[in-house]
Amino acid sequence: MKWGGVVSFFASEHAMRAERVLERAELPARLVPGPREVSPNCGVAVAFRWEDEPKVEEALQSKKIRYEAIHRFDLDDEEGAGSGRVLTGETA
Amino acid sequence: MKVTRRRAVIAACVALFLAAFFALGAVSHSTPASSTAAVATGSVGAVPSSMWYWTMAVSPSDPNVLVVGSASGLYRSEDGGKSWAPVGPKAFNATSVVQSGNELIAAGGKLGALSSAITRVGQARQAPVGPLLIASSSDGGKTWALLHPSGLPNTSVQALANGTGSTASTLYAVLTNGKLYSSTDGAKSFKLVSPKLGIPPWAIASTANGFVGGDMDTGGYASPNVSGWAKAKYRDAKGGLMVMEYAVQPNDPKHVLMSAFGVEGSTDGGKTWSPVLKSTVMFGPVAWAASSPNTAYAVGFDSSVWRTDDGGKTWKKVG
Repeated sequence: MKWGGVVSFFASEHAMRAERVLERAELPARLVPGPREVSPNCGVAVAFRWEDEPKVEEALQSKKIRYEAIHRFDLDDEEGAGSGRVLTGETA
Repeated sequence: MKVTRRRAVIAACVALFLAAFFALGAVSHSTPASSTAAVATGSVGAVPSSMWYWTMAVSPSDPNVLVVGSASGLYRSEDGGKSWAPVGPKAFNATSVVQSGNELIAAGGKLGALSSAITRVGQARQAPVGPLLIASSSDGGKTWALLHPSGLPNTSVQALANGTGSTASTLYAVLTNGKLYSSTDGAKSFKLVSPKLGIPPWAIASTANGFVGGDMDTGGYASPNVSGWAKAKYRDAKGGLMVMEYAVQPNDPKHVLMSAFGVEGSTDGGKTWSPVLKSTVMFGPVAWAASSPNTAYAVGFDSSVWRTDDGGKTWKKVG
């Protein structure tokens, strides 16, 4: 699966909660080691499909999940990542 | 004349300041989609990027040679975690690496056949069920040979664990379908121990008290013989249940490290735990060095590498 965006967080537990919230909203999401390029404070980020970005933002805000920023970032499951590319940086 | 020269100097300073300001501003703005920047995949000072950091082992003969298993395969360091290079099979979701005698054994699944490196099954998560990939190295992880052990089905491995005490020569393999196998000939052949492990397949270790197991969503468990598991009372530093990976000290199976948020330590074979490396960062791979029994390493999900040389009392960031 190809992921087009990541959400960075201030704390790992917020990232895990966010992953749950997105899964319950039926939005594909995956906890991943935080890419260095988006400089997360907690070491983990949540990857999502970029086309879901408005729904991701809405779901996180409606459940009052604290997050640092939403970034456009390519990750590829089939390559096990290592192929990530920062496309844009967007702060929430 | 003096005034003119002073004005010229001030003007030059202002011009330099403005040039620097606008240059920095250009960098700090969002990068447009058309000008992408590649991510470093190999690096000095941190483990290369990956979709998941699973596991780690230290060379049997050199405490400065490490092999990390990740969703992007194996990475090896010859300088105690300061720099890394990819080694071993390609398209390898390397969920487990252990030392077995004088060899390192790495196991997991073939990534190309899997839809992802990690998936959720019920409340827990694990590597997806897929084709097996298992390999061994007799030169400290420099080169790897694929293994085709008899008795082990073509199903990806979630975790490997060495036995302790009377089972010290046994290598256990937890498959992603929850079956438990064991080998007593260095992964040349396996036999079925249990058709159903009884806990989510994630991390397992053999300690002085039997077995400990756990996962990052449902927490830790303990069992005297892997046939029945009791829920551990353990809570991580954040009050949650996270268990990432175990490492049992080679010469003392009561002394166990467990990664979660930072690293927890146990001196009673996993009955009780207390933080030894406090961190708000999620940690994954953790391993002892057999050739230097008080040395161990841990890898954070922020790609950092940590080392202890006093049995886990103090830790230093090395990468």
